[in-house]
Amino acid sequence: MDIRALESEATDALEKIHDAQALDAWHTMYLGRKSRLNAFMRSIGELSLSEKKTIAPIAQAVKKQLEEAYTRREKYIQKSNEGAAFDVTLPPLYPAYGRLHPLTRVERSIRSIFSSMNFSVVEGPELETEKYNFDSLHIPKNHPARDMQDTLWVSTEKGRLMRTHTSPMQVRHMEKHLPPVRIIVPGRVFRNEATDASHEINFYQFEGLMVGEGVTLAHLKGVLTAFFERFFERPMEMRFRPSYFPFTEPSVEIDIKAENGTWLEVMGGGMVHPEVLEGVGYNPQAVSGFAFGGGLDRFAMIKYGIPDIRLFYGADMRFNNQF
Amino acid sequence: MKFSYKTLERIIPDIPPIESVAEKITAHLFEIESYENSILDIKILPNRYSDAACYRGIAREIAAMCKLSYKAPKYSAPKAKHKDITNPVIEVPNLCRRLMTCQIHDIAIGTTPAWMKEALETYGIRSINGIVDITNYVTIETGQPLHAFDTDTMEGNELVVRQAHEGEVVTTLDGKEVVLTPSALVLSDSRHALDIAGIKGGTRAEITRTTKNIVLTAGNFDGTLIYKTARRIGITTDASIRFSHAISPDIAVQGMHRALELITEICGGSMGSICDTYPKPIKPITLFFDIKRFNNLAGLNLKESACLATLASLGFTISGKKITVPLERTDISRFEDIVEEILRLHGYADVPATPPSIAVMPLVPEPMRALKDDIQNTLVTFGYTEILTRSFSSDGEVALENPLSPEQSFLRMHLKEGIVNALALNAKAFDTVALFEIGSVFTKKTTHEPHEDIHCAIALKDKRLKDEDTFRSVRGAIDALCTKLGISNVEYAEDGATLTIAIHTEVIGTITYLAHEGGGTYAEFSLSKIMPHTTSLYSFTPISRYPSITRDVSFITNTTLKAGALLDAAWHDVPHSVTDIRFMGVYAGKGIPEGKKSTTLRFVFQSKDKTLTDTEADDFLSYIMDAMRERVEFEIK
Repeated sequence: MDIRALESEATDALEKIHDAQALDAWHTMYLGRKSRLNAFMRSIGELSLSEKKTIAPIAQAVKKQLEEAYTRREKYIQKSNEGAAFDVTLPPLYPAYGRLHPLTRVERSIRSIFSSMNFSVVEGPELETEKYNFDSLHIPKNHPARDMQDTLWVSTEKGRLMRTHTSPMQVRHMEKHLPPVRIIVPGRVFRNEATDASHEINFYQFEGLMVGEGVTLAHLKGVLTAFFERFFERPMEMRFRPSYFPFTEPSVEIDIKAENGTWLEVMGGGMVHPEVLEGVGYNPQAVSGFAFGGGLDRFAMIKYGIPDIRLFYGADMRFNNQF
Repeated sequence: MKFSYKTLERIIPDIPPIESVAEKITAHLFEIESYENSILDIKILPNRYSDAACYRGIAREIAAMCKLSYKAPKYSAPKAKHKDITNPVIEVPNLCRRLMTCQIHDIAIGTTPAWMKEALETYGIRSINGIVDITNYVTIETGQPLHAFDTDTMEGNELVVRQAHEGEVVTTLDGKEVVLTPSALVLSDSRHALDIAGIKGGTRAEITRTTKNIVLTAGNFDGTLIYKTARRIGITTDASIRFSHAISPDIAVQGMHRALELITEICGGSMGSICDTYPKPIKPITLFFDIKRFNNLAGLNLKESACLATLASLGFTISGKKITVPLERTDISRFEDIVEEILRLHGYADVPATPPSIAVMPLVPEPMRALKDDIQNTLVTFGYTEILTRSFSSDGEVALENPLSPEQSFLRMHLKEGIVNALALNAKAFDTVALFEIGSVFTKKTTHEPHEDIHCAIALKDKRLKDEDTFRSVRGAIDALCTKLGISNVEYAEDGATLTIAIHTEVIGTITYLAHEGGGTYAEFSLSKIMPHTTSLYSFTPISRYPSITRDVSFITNTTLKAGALLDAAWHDVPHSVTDIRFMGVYAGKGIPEGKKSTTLRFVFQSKDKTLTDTEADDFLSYIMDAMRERVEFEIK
């Protein structure tokens, strides 16, 4: 009989055992009274003296090893039974963490993209003066052009109003800085219009302005193409269409192509009107610039597929927690 | 404005199909709302309303965009057959730049031709009678509003443009009595005002089915005046909208001539001669073309001849580099205006997307922006979710003159209303509601001038916590936020269910238990007030190498003694080896006498220089407790 083969057979069998009952059966089979090992050991007595001298110690060693292996396995099985009471499949307990508002997330993404193109982020007051909101932007008084933006007035007499766009910061910033100027202005703006799925009494815009020597309309296209592709994280098709804003000339409407192939109007822009530049003491013969503005809410709606602008201002955690 | 494709076809016989016209208009001129059933609905931009809100103007644009050979129709008035005139007199030449009149005798009221009816109905005007339809149609064809009066019911043979008398009444064609002030203009015969000039006709000298003799008028009134008057009297008409957009006095001629042509054709009658009072005829604007500047603004590389040809197709007169602007284009006064004309007709698609080459400058973040970012980031890690609510309230210090609704008639003076409402809303669905908002608030300072500040509000409602613990949690968030922002010397003072927060004795905000709002805690503070105290300059403090010793002590006090008072007393006079005194909890009930409670504090002792012994710690503790006894009453459990 091959004692070594017996040993490896017993060892292999032992490793597959995970409960006490099977372990008992194994013990009976390999170390019990009727086991093959026991029979073998009894048969050693019939051998010659020289054979006894070689075989007996081996058989003894195998027996001892199997007994030790049995004890180890017994302890191992006891230990794993203790662990079984610990339930690792219980559902998770989540850490408490808050969420930034989706508009904050979008605003940060816009800020970071423009910062990477060396635009500074500046902000301005929500309660503005008529001078900065309209006059300095060349929006004529008593002209239907002012009606394009329904205004919430704090005092018509003193010319105090809730800014209807972020554009006043163009002028405020240029008054205090010499060209070259590169800014991005995010902020809350106000319109006196009834609220529905696509209109809010307050919403967010972001304004971009770049003024310096030799700034062209082609640069506006270059900067915005880079912006759209990074913001939407895919190649973007965009187009300019003719438009009218009193503070840009030429003025363009800026459309991007949605994934379904339709054009979406997302921004207005153009070359800064020479009268706006003159108003802040710049020389329009020496410097030129572009400006653009878009609705932050609209960008968030397009990016996340949000159907109703009012959700942003409803403070419902079932909405806010999705971002 | 809705244009009939059939009428456009009459004016431009070789006009392309409606789809391609719509596509061209979108790319080169205006937005198209729709183009169904032979109707082009075009959104006329405010700067082009003066010349392009009419068939003549749109036809010129379509011809230029589609590169059609097109000549604007020339109108000519029929020969005068009698000598009766109504003399146009302008008393206010700065507000009325032109008035033309022409008397027509023995008109038949006539039948409006089908094509004219179709154009009018497309535009949204009901057909009334021959004369009225012709004046309306000529307005939408040429852009010039016209008005006719019955000369048989007029007094005298003058038409005067004058300021209305104070309290003068004009009964409009729809029967409304309008009381005027001198800031409005009227057209008047020798005795009575006949209409509100540039806005609405009156019942006096009105054209009726029996009218035989008329005077047709074409005027030009100041845009600002008409805009303001129309708003004040609350009457907006097609004419008032056109005049508000400052149409050119030049087109009065086209309107008058075209109307006389059509009247002769449709109503017959005998024309008189045209009277024209036009004290200061406008002069055409001339500009000089500079191809280099054009290409510099556009970022293109176009040829001068191509640019000038484009302008010529729009009716500009070109002579060398000199460009004469058509008189009706009141929107064009500078070089940049013609840059736009060339660019839009050339097509923006050709403008390349060129990255600008710029001098790089270091970006310095605005301190307020940086502070807002810091607060947002910190509060989010504390478990608070950001919300944004509307800037309006039913109550406040700064009122709106034209609010949308009574609930939104003030600018919010704090963020409380929005965030407390949000707590209640979300408590329905969540056990823990932790919110914050950063936003502008508006107050009136002593100067009574509205003042804008930026606030941060945080609010917490947690069904699993005792109310006092939500309060502690909010206070902890504020405290930890201040530490994160590098603000030291934050102090709190008790004021009922509110704790005021102060930095260096200046109150910057409050923490309030919402006893009356269904529980929870809300805090609000001013960003502009904390900003000067923030710093990102931290300095290192060595960490002690020696072990600390702690002693827990339970103080039995009256239940009325507040934890703050006990802690203040404990901190009042401490040896420098005391590194912390921690509040461990408060207990009342079994084992504690009635009217008493037990507050446990943990004292932590640690030296920078050596290992403290138990005896030293006990000495420190008894020193502190002696000092405490002078301030608060307590027994030791």
